Amino acid sequence: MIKKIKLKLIVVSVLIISCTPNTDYIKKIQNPELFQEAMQNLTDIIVYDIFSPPVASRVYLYPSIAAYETMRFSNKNKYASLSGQVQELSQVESPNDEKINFNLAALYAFNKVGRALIFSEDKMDKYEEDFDKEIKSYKTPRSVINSSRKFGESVAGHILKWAKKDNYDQTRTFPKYTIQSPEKFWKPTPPDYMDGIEPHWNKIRTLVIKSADMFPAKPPIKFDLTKGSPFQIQLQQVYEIGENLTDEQLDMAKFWDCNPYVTHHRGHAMFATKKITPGGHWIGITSVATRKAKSDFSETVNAYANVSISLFDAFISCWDEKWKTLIVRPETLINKYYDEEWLPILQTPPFPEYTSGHSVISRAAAVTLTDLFGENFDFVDTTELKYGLGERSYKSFIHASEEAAISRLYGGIHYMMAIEEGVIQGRKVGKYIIDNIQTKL
Amino acid sequence: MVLGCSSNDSSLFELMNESVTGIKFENTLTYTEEFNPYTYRNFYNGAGVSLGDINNDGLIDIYFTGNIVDNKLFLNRGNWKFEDITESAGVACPNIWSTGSTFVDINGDGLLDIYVCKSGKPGGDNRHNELFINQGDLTFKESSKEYGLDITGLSVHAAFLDYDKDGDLDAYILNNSIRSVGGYDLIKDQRKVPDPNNNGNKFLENQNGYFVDITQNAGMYNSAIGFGLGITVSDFNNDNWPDLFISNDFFEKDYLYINSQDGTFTESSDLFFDSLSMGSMGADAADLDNDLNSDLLVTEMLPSSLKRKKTKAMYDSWDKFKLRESKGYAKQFPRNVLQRNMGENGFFEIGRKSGVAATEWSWASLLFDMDNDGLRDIFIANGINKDLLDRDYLAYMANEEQVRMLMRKKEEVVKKLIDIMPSKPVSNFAYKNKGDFNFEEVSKKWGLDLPSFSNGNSYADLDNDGDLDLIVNNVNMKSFVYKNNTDVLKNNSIQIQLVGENKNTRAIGSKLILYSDSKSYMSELFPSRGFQSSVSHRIHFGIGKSEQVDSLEVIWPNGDQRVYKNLTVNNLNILDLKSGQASKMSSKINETNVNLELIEFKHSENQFIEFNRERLLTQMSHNEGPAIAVADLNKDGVDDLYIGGGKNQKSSLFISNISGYESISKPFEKDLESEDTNALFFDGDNDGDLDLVVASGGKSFSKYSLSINDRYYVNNGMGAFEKKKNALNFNKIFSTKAMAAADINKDGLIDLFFGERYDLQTYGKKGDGVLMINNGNNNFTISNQTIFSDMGMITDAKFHDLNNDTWPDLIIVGEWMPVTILINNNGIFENHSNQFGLENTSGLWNTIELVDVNQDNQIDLIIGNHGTNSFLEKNMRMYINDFDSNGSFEQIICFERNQKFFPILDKDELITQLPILKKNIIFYKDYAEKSIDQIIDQKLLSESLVLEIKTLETSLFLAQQNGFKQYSLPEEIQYSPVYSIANKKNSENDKNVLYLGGNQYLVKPQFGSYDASKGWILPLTFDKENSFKETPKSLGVNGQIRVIKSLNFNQNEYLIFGINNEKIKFYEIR
Repeated sequence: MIKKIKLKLIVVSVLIISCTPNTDYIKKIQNPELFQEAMQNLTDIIVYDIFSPPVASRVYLYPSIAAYETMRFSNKNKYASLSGQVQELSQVESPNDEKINFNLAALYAFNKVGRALIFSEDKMDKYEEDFDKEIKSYKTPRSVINSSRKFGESVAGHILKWAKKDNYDQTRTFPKYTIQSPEKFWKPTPPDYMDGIEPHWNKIRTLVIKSADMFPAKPPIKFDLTKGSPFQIQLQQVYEIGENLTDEQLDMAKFWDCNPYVTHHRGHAMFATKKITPGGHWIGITSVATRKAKSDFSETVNAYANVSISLFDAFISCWDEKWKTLIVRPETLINKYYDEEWLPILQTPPFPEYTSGHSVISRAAAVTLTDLFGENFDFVDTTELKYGLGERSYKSFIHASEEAAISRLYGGIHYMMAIEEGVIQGRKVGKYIIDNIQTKL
Repeated sequence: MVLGCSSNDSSLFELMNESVTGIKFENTLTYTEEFNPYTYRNFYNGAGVSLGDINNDGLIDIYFTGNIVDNKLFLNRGNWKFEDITESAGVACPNIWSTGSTFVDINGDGLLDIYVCKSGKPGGDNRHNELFINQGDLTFKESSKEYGLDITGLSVHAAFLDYDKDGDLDAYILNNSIRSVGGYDLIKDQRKVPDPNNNGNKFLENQNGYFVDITQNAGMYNSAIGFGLGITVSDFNNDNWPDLFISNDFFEKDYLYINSQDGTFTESSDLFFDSLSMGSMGADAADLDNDLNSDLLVTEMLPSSLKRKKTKAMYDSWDKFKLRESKGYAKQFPRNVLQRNMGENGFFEIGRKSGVAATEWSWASLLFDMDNDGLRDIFIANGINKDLLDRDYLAYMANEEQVRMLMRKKEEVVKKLIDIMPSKPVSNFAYKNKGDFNFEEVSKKWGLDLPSFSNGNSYADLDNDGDLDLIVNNVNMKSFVYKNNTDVLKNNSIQIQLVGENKNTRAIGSKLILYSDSKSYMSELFPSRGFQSSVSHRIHFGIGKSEQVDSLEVIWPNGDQRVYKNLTVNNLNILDLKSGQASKMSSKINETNVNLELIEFKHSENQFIEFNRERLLTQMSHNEGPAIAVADLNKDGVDDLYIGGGKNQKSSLFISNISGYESISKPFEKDLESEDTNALFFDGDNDGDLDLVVASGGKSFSKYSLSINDRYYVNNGMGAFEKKKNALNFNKIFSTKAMAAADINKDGLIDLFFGERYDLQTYGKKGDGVLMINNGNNNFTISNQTIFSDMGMITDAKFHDLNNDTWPDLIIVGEWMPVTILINNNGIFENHSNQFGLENTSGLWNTIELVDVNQDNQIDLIIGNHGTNSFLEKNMRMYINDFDSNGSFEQIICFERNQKFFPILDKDELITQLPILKKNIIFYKDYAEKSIDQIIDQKLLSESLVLEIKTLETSLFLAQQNGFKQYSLPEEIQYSPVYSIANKKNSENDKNVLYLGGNQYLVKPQFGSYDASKGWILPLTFDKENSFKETPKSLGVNGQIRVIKSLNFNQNEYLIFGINNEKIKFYEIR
């Protein structure tokens, strides 16, 4: 992927060939593609290391904020610190080293924090090696590199110290979910009956929303399997929907699957497919949007910071709801009551049903992106190309988030209520975030 | 030029070179894009070998099956020369995937025919199973249709038996389901639904030479979840009718079809087995201990070393395991199982104790006497050409670019995916039977350790020298032909060939019992054995040094029983029914205890799952109830009882009256929430009646819960009890199990000792003992002696004056702690464990019983431990610390390997609890290599609490001049953890008799339930030279026994068994 940048940069360098050679590198470092590549690298490692959706949102969050808090020193009048706007983040001390290139420093900060949160450091090594070569090839003075790295890493240290207190480590030892026998409660689902993911995610420190339960969803429809009851009607809808799907709807379901780890069994032989998480998909859309909008380096970093905050809080909000309501997945009930062999189109992910994670986080991210890029920002979503799923076009971010939400019904993994209420929950979280933080002044 | 042999001369088996024997056979398997282990589940299952004398020349011939390659028939020309007569015989089955085969005389003409099972992709000529009828001139004619045996499916193997004793052979045909695995594997009652495409297993009755499908009428399953890989025919319940064991791969449980003797079978695996193997492959049944019962070994896929377990094995979570069980899939574990036939008490699974539980991807086991010493040994063939379950492959290789390509349907992706799968041949396993189900691994010693991918295999005496030779069919490697060099020089043997009646000319189904030198041996004639293979129709007995046999009893297939004498040793003896002398069935004497219900009380355990809180434990430990205390409270000469219930269960007093027992729950109902783990009657207030102290224990409580305070109830003298709230003044809240009472300071008042069972949050942290001094007036205060602090996880304590100074000393045991002796020196306790020689006794101790075992007027200690039928090992360690500095503690249990300590847990489990470690150990292979000091920071490790295990055996500590000497209790006692021991004097001979019970079911599937005990009775005849002279007998009490007490009721002696989460049981002692 680095190669691709090089091609683009050659064009740029041809254009600016007449400039004074010693500042040439500055222009090159301003190329937002450098940040896009860093983000892509992080996404690749998240996929490789198999992070669950909520945990992945955390892996996106802190590096993005580190980059933002570093980058903003290049134009402090235009970009406000998040300190004071998000919980418990203190000010990064202003550097007094004039050699620092803040774009470059932001990249160092991003990678340093990213490295701390992922597992496969060898992949990060490989990336950084290429990155260092690239920066050197710009003839960037060594003193600039050193000063920028030093500052970037100090911001990274600052952010990691803050991240350390978000209760993530503590929640690792909190009890696993104990399966409760009443039927209305969530149970592990086929084929692997994995343990429920992150039952204590609501204990993670939120960023902007005041608490995990600040925006609870409407209580779910009362569990009732009597034919014709409101709950049963929704269950029946999931049961029947698979047979009547149009190709378009089937594509939608698959396009928005975003399950980081789907297992396939062939007797003793088994393999798994890894994909981006729902949050990763919206990080991908952010990359599409910033590129289409021709955002500069700062605007790009700003967009990622905002989207990752929105995703992070949205996941906490949704997970709070999921593990409080503990709604059983349709697959469990359909297999028990209607058809033992019924399989949803998508593999049911391992956590309770209500509300739909994709609905909540997609809408929250869409609200943020709309705030940044406007209401009628049409785009072609190419995020899933890499995973063999083609591309889809949208009139707006909200349009994309609508589709992400309803795709869960088509996929046979959610009731309509979780989608409708999830969208509302996501909208509230997104709205609250854009109303309460201001990055670009 | 070396042509003869390739193994060293001293080994028992010698690999014969094909240039000598002429036996050229290799089951070559190459996968393609279309046909491979992803598209065909059983791609690497390999093929088999059948042995039988096709031309009745006294030399046993060989038939190999091949998957892609043709089958081959080799005629034995004698003197290790074989001739490939496949083509002229017409038995090649070209272009069709052959699996299992068996020699059988199906038409009763005295000539062995061949039945071949077929599998693989559909289509092709003769895709159905084939029956080759022997024409008597070394040619065969395919006639499956005429016999109704032209079955088509994913057929694996067939077995022939006369199940209804009508004189002809019926057939069981094992078909592996074509249904894919996954998704529906936890649906209840699937096995009752017949496969809609009729591809299921088949039981066929021979009706005048034509085989008719009677599967369902015979009470057998033919569903789409039958993933059978092995048929094992044997008389499992010893009623002289043939039964069948079907080993099922994947999630389906194994079936045990007990012959109902009325033309049907009853599937009874739940009744006979406690633990089954999960991905069961081949199996074999034979008598391994010469008790004339048929034992069973079923192989699975568990790798043998800790290292390979960490990279290859996958385990169910506790939740999934329980879900499986609740849906009717029994308790299945990923390991080989060795089921010891205990007669009327079913089977006890003792594979872990015998050391045969983990032998890699094991297709087949055969139980036969390889060295003619009179005990059957074990051969296990294993290996899979591609490591389908390599964890790194699954996590990091099978799912990146490869699968993305797969999804885009580019060319040859599946093939490439398989190309990168690891492939490593491994050694087959041989175990020498040392008696008492002890086995020595002798793969190398006996020359059977050549790394390979081995599948079906078979034995027979190919050179008629009196020992059994071995043939192994391999994937992508020449078949092994092993010549047995035992001969009859060291040990003797005897071979029998039976001439049957009617259509069953080889008398398949006969049971032979050989008597020689006061020993007896049992063999059954069922040729289909192991995996996709069949053994010769000759019966072979190794008889060790015996020079002659006394007699042979044959129970013929029709039930006739005949005795034969004058048999010649080291020879083949040919016998028919008529020449034998009729004999009576030796009737078995059943020692049954009268089981009666004096009291109805069902203990109720809570469903707390410790693994949800402490993910790194191997087993739970909170299921300790019920508590039972026995005493004659109303002095009517009949014992009364207190029975303590579980959490939220009412405890009761049972007072005897004329008709039985009256239950009194007052005032105990007020302490409903407490979980009773122990109870003790003693005179606390010195008023001449017995008061009651009850230990509140358990783990499903908050550390602030007052419900775990121990309780003291005063007897008002009229039989009513009243709780004294401030009698026991504890200074902290803790979970209790151990209690003991004695007047430790000689003030005339009985004092109490309480032991802290465990820290409610962190298993392993050391708990305190609490000595409560009786101040009189129902008031106790804690002694300030500090010796009781930080003792360990105390499970039991007993007072006894060990040094004869009249002051009661204290014996304390617990988990992960040594047997501890505190000597009472004028009321002050001092730790004298080392002086008593107990420094290396750290174990998983559960219970102490004091008995004078050798009647030397010194009290000895019998202490219940974990036992050795377990993957846990001595010298294992537990490191306890807050390894991720998040404020809560974790335990990391490690096994010792070459003075280094390796965590025993699966990487995923460790990482879930300690994600901080993942950076250091991304790949499973990295984890497998790392010892704890390479995983955990040195400083943290050195600050950790480190506990060790030095002994796992339930033991006798015999009092000597200078302390105690440890003796292990008999082998059977070590089959399962012992949680309770009672001692009772036999009134007739004044000898001590021990009653022991235990079991623990709340164990993670990778370590497996400890269930190989139904209580034991052990008459104590002990001397220092011979240790225990009597063998324990099973009491037949199912469940997790937690307390055994003796009870006197109306002049009769009873044992009362407190069983966790079950009804109280009574047994009358006669």
